[in-house]
Amino acid sequence: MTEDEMDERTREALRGYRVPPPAPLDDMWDAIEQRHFGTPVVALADHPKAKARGKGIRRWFGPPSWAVVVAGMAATLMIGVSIGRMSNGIAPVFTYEPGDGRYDYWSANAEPYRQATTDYLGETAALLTALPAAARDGQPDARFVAHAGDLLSTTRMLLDSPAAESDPRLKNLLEDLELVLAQLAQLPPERRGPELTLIAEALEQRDVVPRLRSAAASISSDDN
Amino acid sequence: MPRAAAIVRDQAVPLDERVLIARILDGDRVAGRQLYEAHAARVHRLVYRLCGDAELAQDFTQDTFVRAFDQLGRFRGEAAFGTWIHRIAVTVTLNGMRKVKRLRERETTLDDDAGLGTVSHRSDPDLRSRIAAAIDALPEGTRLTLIMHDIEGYTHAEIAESLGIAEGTSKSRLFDARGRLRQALAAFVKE
Repeated sequence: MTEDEMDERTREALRGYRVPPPAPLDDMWDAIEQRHFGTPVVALADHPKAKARGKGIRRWFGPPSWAVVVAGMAATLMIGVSIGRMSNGIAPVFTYEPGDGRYDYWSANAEPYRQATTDYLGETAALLTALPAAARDGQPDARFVAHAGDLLSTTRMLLDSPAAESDPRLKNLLEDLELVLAQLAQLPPERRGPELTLIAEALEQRDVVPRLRSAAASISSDDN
Repeated sequence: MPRAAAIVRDQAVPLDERVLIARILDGDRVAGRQLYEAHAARVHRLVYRLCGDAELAQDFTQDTFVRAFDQLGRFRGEAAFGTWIHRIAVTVTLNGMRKVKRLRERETTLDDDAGLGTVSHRSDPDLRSRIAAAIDALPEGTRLTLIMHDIEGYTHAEIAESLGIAEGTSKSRLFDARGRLRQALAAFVKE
């Protein structure tokens, strides 16, 4: 086989690498529209397409997981203890090992942002761990929603800070939190119960609470 | 066809993305659909090439657009929206694939099945499967560059913008990828 023949066969073979199927544009848009623009949950659940669509939508529904509640409560407790110890100048009492490495920015020089970020992560963890219970109750009070709005403002300030710019993992976490908090802050009173259940499920899917715990542990346990 | 989709597809005027973005920021879902229609197919193609799974490609494409719309207020227009969303797509897909890989590895350990997620290099019957195995074996950045340039037809400038690297890096990665493929093929021809 000549070099030209080989090149041609290579090009042909490359074109055949993972040939994409037609994009399911309508199905994808339905999900995007619902997640971003907030299609009414009741209408979605009753819509025949919602039942036939597959796990992309189905996974948003279902009862809140007790495992999430327990893990969230544990996370809040650990973060609270850690923050308390930090404020007294004592080393954190737990030794959490982040699975994917450290939040690099904090090993450099971000003291002005450290306390604000740690406080913010602790408050956000507390709010999010209360979420499954609020979903079960169906009607979180106005303070819950207002607190989400306050934390959303803080999230956006931190996202625009050098801390997020310098640390992609922290930025990624803040972006996920921004999404969740924005949903919480904009909950319409008449649909709070079902919406909260969806958000609680989304939190579980995106490992938000474990990532919060990892972030808080990594930031607060840095010696620098 | 959903009503919004019909409206979007009947539009005859060229899309002005800046206007669309402003309308989306005001909560206009039809504008959202228009912007989505302009980019979704290409994003989905790239995502599928990267992950090789229809269901994951659908999920990752959805995640890409949701994230893009949610962050639209921070889109400064320094790069084209298409470049920006491709950058998000690559990030979402690579992060998603890492998560899937971790899950599969966990399942593999439980099932004691060593074959999952790997490609046999001994029994590939033809050139296409040999090429596929060689591509899959490339380092992540090199594989991304090869797929985007040689398979999906992106320019080095687009790749550089999307991956946050220099154009020179894109070129050297492509050179490296082609060299590795040639090696794999040379072995194939000898066999």
